[in-house]
Amino acid sequence: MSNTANFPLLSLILFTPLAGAVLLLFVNKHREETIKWIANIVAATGFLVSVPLWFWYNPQNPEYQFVERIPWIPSIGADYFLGVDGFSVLLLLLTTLMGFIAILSSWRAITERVKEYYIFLLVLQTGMMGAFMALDFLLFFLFWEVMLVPMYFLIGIWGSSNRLYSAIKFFLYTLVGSVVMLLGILALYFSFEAATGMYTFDITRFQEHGFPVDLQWWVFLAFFLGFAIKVPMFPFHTWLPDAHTDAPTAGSVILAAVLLKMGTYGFIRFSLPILPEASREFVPMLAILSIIGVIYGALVAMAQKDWKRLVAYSSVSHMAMVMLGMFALNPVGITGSIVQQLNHGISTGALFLLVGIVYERRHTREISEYGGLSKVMPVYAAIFLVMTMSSIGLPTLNGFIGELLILQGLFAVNMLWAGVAAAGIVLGAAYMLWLYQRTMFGKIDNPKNEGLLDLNLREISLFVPLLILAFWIGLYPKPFLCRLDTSVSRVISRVSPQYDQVNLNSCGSEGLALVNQARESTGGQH
Amino acid sequence: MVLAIGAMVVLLADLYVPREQRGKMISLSVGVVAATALSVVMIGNPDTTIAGDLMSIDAFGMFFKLLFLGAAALTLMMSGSYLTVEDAPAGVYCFLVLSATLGMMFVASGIELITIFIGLETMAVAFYILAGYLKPNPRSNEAAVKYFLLGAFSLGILLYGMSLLYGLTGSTNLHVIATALEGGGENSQLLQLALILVTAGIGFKIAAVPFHMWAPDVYEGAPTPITAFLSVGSKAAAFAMLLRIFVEGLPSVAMYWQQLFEILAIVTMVVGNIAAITQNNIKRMLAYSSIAQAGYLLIGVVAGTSRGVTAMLVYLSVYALMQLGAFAVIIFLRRKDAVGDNLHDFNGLYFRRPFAAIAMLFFMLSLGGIPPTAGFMGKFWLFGAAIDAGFYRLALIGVLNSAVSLYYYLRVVVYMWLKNEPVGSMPQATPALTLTIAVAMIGTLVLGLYPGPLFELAETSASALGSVATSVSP
Repeated sequence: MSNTANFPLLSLILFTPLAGAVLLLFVNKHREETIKWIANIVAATGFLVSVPLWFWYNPQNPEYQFVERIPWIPSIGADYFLGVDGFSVLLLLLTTLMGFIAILSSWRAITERVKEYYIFLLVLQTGMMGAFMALDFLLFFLFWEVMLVPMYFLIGIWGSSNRLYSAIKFFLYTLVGSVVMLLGILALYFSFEAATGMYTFDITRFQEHGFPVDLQWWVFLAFFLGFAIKVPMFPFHTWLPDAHTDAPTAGSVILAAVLLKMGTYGFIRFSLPILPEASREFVPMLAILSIIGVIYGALVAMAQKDWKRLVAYSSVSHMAMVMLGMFALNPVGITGSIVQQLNHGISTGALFLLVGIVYERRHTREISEYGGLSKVMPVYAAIFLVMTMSSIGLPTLNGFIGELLILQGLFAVNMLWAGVAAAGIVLGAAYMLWLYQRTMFGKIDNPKNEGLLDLNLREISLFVPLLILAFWIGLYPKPFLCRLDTSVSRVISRVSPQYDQVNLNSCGSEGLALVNQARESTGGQH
Repeated sequence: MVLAIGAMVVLLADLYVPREQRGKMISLSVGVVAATALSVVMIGNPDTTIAGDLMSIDAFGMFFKLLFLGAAALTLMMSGSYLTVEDAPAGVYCFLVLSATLGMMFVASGIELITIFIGLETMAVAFYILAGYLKPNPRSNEAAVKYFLLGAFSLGILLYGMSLLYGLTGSTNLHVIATALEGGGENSQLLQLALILVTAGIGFKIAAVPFHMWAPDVYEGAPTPITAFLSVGSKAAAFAMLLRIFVEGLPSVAMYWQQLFEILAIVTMVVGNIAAITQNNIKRMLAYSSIAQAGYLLIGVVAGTSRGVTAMLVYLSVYALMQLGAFAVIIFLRRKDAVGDNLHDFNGLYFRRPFAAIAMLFFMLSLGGIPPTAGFMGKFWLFGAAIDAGFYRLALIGVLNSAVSLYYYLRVVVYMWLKNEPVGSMPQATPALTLTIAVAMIGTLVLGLYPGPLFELAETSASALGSVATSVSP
């Protein structure tokens, strides 16, 4: 483990938003312009300081990088221990980017209690990044829980009609999952001590240690509850539509783009490598729940009358797809799962922004209120089209790469699963295109829509980075896949050692060579 | 000891200081507390017994003494403005708080059933009077009578249990009792009866279900600072006694009392939390919440290991800070025209007094066990101790309960942040009260982010407790 930067880059990235929040505390709450400027500058800085991660991260080095380690609670062996690999680098960049976009998108939308709003968003930002960086389980849990409070306030104060109910539902659901997960962490901690005589919460050690299988079984269930609620997997998804619908736009964007990734991140970072035997044992259960999630999410989305709720249910379906790819437990599936997490962050984040923009203009989310918007808002319609296509996985856009990898991974394991997943993709295309048709095409039959303004420069600038990313991942995913090699092989070497020989050298080969390579080596095994 | 003399000085001074100068009495008392704390630290930790083996001066006792003194100091500091609003005299009040503290300190260092009992009685008598200190207020009177009757009854039961122990072992010294019982289970039925009686007596003091009936009424009726002190000091003293008697005195019969406490812990957590959900009076809500907190603490006793005791000590200190802080905010809301203990009194507090609201937010999150507050660290380690000792079911019930508790803690937050129809005049704080809230809040936050030193201190203190961990195994 190394820190090639030779200076605490991760801490800098982690605490930039928090420092901004503290700074905002001292600004008079009536100076709203100043507050907005400070928040936006801090968020932009937060993104900029995280950019070096992309360049300085060395994809050839299999260890965690930019490591920082200071004793925190020595008597119980907890450290302030940060480090990243390719997977967390990509999620961190997604977080800083989406954080900035979310803050920029709130310029007009938030008119009351401006100061607290930005403080909560910035604190949330630090919490999320901390969870992606922590290599100490206690530290991870701390950040994991810290996220809850600002999100609770964001939904509860700035949300729409049913906000209090949604906020407390979000809070309690996630909390129940995470406290049970805490017990799992403690069980691992004491079991590790019994085996090695060493008290530590060091995740890297846990990942190399073989825990007793029956303990793994219980801990897997405990982790499953914590992560599955966050993903959210069917049947733990019921908090999500409420939270999404009632959250302010920026809250929904962050929730969809980053917060849901906490769950999948948890599975890949903790469940699979620390509890490999149990993970293999639970594959059928997770696969079935994910398949139900894919189909159920898509069907329910199709039936929605509320634009935002529709996107929320599409999240359930897409995240179930991510889970399905992950539990194929082969290199292609897991790579696809990670790529699809990024894609979901980009496209669903953008879709929530798009809903937020028309909501700001019309104050309704009923799909039937809209129609023919492409006449008055051509730029909006164009961006919406690209993001819809990205969400349903059209080639040349990012969604295609992720779904292709996931399907390839699944195909190698179980044809039936792959078939059902493909059906889910078709359903996804159906409800998204139908939504597009109902809102954008046709005549403007609602006079209120006639005077709608198209996007202004600030709003367009929200989408520029997302559009670039969508095409970049869609056309040339190599730089992304390349950064995931070591993360994926770390997981694979633990959970599916039979694939260990597969040489994940996507940095050296052209784009999708990874896919072909893996297909050759996995084809005959099942 | 310094505190006893100090208390006398305060009582005498009361004769000369006029009623209006409450501040002087309180500063004097805080001074006495500080002097006592200083002398406790100076005596240090020689690990000897004094007064003919009646008391032990060890790290365990020292930890609790400092805890009591800290709690007493914070209580006194928050009392000033409350007494002014209620127009009640301060002299006797301070004297009684000091003597209650004195009693607690006896309990914490007693290694003799008699010493412990006398300490407990000293504390209890002071609290009976303090609960009824607001003479014109019928609720305060009701609280005092209720507390006195039930308290006297429970002390009787405790004494009966102790006498059975004496009869069985021929001694009241805990170490002698421990040695005498090492032989094992002759007269085990009588022994079990003794255990049950002692548990019932202590259960009353820590307000464990089913001995909790008095708590909501007394907490609601007693003067708010006294409620705070009662829920922190008296509870901590009872836990000190519990640890002394059971872990130090009766380790060889651990299998009996571990079962007993496991059931007690579960019932206490569940009932406390469920009852708290429906409360609209915040003092009652905190009463039920503190019942639930006692349940969490009992998890440490059940574990019975040195880790369990460490976790309890950590949690007790943390609990003292957050509980006293929460009550200080309630006192802050007590004005001439508002009682300040209904949830509606918190309406829109954030807009009028953001500092108090933020402090209350931290206390509530800490009581609920959400990081980065100290309450999380304490709870985390309590559950850790339970897992370590193999009580998985207990830990699971514990964490689920703490998730449920967030529901009612967040209700307070909802009122402070989301409702905007303020009640009564603008609350004003005295410097002493502000200081109390600030100390409690900073403590809650610092111990949540950097609890290392507290963990180490608690560990040393826990290992000083007699035969802990060596002979107790689940």
